[in-house]
Amino acid sequence: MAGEPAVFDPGAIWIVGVGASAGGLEAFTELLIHLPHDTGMAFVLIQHLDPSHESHLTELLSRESKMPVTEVKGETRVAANQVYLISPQRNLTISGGVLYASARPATGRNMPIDSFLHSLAADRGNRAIGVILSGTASDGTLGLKAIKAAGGSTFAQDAATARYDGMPRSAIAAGVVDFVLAPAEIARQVTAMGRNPAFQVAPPAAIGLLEESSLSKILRLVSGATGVDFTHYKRGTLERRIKRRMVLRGFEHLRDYCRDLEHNREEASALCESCLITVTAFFREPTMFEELKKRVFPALLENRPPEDPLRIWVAGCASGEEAYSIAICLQEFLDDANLSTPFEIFATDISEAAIELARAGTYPGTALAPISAQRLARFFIKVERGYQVAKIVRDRCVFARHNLAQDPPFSRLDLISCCNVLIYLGPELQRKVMSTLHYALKPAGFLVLGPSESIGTLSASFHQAPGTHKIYSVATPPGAPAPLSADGRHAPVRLERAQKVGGSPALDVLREADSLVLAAHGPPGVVIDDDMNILQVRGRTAPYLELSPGEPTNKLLKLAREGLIAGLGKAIRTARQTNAVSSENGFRIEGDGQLRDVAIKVTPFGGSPTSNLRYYLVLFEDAAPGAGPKAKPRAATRDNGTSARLRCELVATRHFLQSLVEDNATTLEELREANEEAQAGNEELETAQEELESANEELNTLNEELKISNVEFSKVNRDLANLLESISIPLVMVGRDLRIRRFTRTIEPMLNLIASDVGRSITDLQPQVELPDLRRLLLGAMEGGDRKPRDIRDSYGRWYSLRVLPSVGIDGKNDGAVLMLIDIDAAKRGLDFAEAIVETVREPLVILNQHLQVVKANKAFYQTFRAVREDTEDRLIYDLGNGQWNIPKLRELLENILPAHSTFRDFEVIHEFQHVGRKVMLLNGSEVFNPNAQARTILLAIEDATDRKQAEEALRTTNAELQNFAYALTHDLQEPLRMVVNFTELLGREYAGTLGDEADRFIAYSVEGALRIEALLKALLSYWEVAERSHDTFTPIDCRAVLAKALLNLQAAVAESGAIVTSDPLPTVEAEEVLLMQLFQNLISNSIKYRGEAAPQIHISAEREPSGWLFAVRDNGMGIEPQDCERVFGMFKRLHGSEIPGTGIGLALCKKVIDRQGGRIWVESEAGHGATFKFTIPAHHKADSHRRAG
Amino acid sequence: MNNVETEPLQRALDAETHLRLNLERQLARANAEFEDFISMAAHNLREPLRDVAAFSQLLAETYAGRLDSDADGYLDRIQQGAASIQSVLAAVVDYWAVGTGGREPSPTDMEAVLCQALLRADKQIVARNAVVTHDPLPPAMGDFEMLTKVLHHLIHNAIAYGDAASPRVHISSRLDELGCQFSVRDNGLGIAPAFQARIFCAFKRLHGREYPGNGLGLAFCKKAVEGLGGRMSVESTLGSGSTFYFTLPSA
Repeated sequence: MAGEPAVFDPGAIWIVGVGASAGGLEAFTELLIHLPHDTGMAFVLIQHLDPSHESHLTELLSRESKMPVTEVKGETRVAANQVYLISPQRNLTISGGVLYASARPATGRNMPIDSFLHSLAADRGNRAIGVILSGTASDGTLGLKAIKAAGGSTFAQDAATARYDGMPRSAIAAGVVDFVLAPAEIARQVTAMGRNPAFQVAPPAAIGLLEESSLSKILRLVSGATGVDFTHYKRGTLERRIKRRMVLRGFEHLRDYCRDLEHNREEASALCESCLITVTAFFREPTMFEELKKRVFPALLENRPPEDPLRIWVAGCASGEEAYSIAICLQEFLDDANLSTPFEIFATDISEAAIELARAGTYPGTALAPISAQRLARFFIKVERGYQVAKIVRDRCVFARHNLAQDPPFSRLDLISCCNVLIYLGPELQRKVMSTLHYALKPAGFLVLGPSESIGTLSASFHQAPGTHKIYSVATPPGAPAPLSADGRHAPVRLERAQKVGGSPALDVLREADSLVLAAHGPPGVVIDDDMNILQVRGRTAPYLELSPGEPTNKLLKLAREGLIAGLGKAIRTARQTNAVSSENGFRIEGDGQLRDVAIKVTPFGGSPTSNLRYYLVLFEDAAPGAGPKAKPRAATRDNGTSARLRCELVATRHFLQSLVEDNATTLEELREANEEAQAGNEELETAQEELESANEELNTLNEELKISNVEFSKVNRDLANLLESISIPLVMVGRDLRIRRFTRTIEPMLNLIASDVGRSITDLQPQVELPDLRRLLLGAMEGGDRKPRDIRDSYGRWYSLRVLPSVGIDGKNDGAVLMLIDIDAAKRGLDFAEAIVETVREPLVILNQHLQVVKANKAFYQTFRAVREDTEDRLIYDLGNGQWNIPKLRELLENILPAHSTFRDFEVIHEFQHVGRKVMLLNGSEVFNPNAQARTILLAIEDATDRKQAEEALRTTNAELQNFAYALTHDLQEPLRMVVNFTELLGREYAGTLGDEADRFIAYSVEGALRIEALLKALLSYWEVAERSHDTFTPIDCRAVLAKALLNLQAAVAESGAIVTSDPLPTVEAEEVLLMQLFQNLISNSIKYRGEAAPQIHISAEREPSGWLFAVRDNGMGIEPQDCERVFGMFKRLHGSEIPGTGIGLALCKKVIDRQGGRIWVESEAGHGATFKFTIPAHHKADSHRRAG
Repeated sequence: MNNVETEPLQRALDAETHLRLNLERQLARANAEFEDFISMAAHNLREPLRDVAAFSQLLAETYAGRLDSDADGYLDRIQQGAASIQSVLAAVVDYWAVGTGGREPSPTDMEAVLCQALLRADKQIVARNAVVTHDPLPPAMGDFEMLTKVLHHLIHNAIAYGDAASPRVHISSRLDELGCQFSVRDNGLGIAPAFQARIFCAFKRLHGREYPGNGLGLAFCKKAVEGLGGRMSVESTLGSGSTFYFTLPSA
């Protein structure tokens, strides 16, 4: 800070330094537009520029500025009505009206605005104008401060117009801004100032001094809200803090702020927190910790019983770094010394928030920068958001909220650290705190203060330890009540109080002093310390010392009588310098009206062996009357008048000097106080810087995070792009405003899209596909409406499924829609094909959903049941028609299909159907996969089996009819036949041989014919008996027994032909006995009938087959031609003429029997070599294939 | 729905159709086989029957007068039986011939048909002293021979079951939008309602042996008329005669 403004050339031009950072271009432009070309001023624009990029600022601003704009690259003399612009890699300074562009520092923070404005302030003084425009952080604040200090004017852009208000706000908050205006206003104001230097505008009221009443009210409010009383804190600090809060909260007047505080407790605590400056760091003063290790800890631990714990108090611990630092330091020391003395650290602070932080013991990585890697590894644990102090250290530290000024202190402490606390406190509070600290310390305890703090009024109670740091040891006996003074803001008062307590030095000092006094034969004297404070008065010193007017003091030089002062000073100085006894002679003092010559002897001595404090024994000796007095009286007598005058002058001079000395002491005290305040200011700045750094850190972190998310985003974006590129689904995404966001390549031809259509409204397109109502469709989908896909075609007739789905935004609401055109052409055609099949299937089909409601029914269904779509679709299946399907068993079957994945077949429903009458329906149900349906569906196929049932019925009735017919016929024929047969036989019996040969022949023919008719009818009858038999007479039959019966019936024929019938063992089969017998009978009879020349040999055999039994009836007869083998089983298919009797029914009957058995009959033969009739009888009788089961 | 889904359906339906066609085929075959059987049986029976009839007749003619009354009675009975059997067989063959190998219906002069039928029934008319009257008959679609047989049967039936003393038969017709309805009314006993449905069945004679007939006449008529696309029915009140109706498409 410049002390006195330098004298400047009044003709020198005004130079306006304008600083900006982010958002600067806009602000510069705005400013330059409003500046006329003839302000008579020069403007230097300082913009934060990226050093690695070329700047286009010059061209950009040239367009807007009425003045020429030049980029400063070398040395440039400033001229009026010009705009100068900083160059990217440079920093600008000004000196003697010449701009110097220097390379910017390679490392560290570059503050180009501050640095330029500083030089501007120095160069121009009250003709410097500083302007801070939009930007972040705080560059420029210090520069404006410098300008203001130099008498210049300062401007800042108002927050409302600044794109980024960080820089202007910082400057405003620092109280260094005269005008807070918009850029255009700034231009006007600057111009006006340039034209009329006397022109001034009153600065805003907010930056005025705080009224005393308001301030005390504020403090009362804060005290009420937070319990912290700031009354005795330093005014300067408080005012700055309050102003800062006001600016931040946007208050112009203290009254308003005060009113706000009255009911805004939050603001009260914010102000409180803001006043409680919590600046601290790990190992903040590294040398102090070295000192602790080197001197304090060894002293504390010397002769200490190992179980006696060290007690340490860190008062004003803030967020705990200092406490932890001390703990770490001590732990290291103990470890190095191989000691295990326990210790505890009480760390207190007035701020609850700070204590919370401290307790957690977790710090960001940056806070740990001053900590060596070794310490970090040993005393810290890496956690998620930084490092946490290790438990061994944390366990040593007890954190508590404690108001140093109000709460009772701890006691019996070995070490108190109270750094940078006192500087914020007013003198009264300082004293109180110091006495508290003194009380709390053990006799051999140490006190550590901040670098700019001093022991002040308790200097007698503490000794400063040697070294650069403010480490004090207790000088007064322990437990002595801390002296309290009634009042006093000034040093003399403190001096006086110090004198009061100064009478009792340490015991060993006394002993030492006594011995010395004795050695010097006990002349009167005083013991003083290094500062020439009198510690003890020995003997009668009244002739040499006297209290002078003004405030009482214990300073030896102030107490010494006239005439001794110079000699005392010299002697003590000599003694101090040589560390040896020094003496001065020949001082004359006036006492009791007489003059006496005095010799002064000063003996330095150490206070104690361990302390480096030095003391001085000052002895006064009256000189032996000798040479001196002889000469002096002579001179006195000779120059009495002159000397009296001289003496008077001397006394006057001494008085003058004395007052000067006192003045100097006061000034010194004031300076010290100012220094302390400066220190406090510095602390605040450090706080601000720390805040900035942490903000910066946060920004860095945020930036890092943003970078990472950016990478993520671009990855996701790329993935999305790749996905969209690779999927062949035509897809377009639109926003809520129906503007196109993205689309896939495949949709381009369909919607006539080109890449630049992104951002256009989709409704503007001329699509190649039919998209009627597209707008309504999209909006409807966004509203969560109809999502049902619909089938549309493009101009080539290709089918697509149009699906519109809402797309969900970050807030979970629909923020757009996705339109998809899925090519379903193949499927659609397939579907069409399938649907066509379904439609053309004559079988009625119904598709049901899981609730058994009809989804769809085909044409055949509607036709068959004369139903209409409206009464069918969406209806429950049971409700259709007149409830024909509402059958409990069917319900059970249908309801089981989906849960059990079951199917059913041929469920028969006979029902009098509405409109269509009685029908027989067969139902088949199964689950069907339907790709277009979301839910599962059932396909119910209904077969109209009425026709078949009728056909079956017809077949049955026809068969029955035929059988009846045949039966009736044979019966009807029986009667006349019997008549014919009976009467021909009667005729033959009665008249044979009576009417001659011819008649006999006629009769014989008739009888024969009648017998043939009879045989034929008998065969027919038995055949129809076979056909007519009911089917439930199958029983296990022993074939041997059946064969025996058949042979019995054939007895006559067998006997007549001489046939030999043999058989293998025959099985028992399931069959009908009568029919089986007829089978054997017919086959054997056949073999006999068609015998060859030899006697018939017939063999019957049977063998087991997988499916049943294979029988064979082998003969040695005439055989059958192969081509006739099929025909023989036909009815009346006789191969031979009437030479062989036969009805032509026998083998047909055999076939009929075997058919009924479900077997097969055939013949293997060769003409002339006999025939083998073979037939099978299945093991298990199967129902006649003509009939359906059930 | 796709092909995979519809195939089983199609198959099921095909199976169903197949089943029905199979049944129909079976039915047809059963009928055909039966007809075959009947005609073969008739044919096979006719041969020995002819032998019996021929030789018994030859015997009767050759030895006429040389035989005693017993022998004449025997031969008479033999010939009666043979004729009866032959009549049944002929009727059966006729009955089964209906519907197989029939000619397409053609416009037929029903007056001519009636004349032919009356001619065939002349013997019976004379024997029973029956009075047969008729209204003019319109032409109709049908088969001359078949319709002659039908009308002959109905007339024969009407006379046979008509009033024992003086049977009266009236034949009339009526034209309506469906075609021609012909009716044959008698003055016989009538038929109890319970039996009316049965009379068209083969061999379901309502009466005992006192009435001639082979039990196939009405069955034949019904089958023949239905084969020509018409319908056969009867109205009767016990004690006041019966009227047999048959319809034919108009010519």
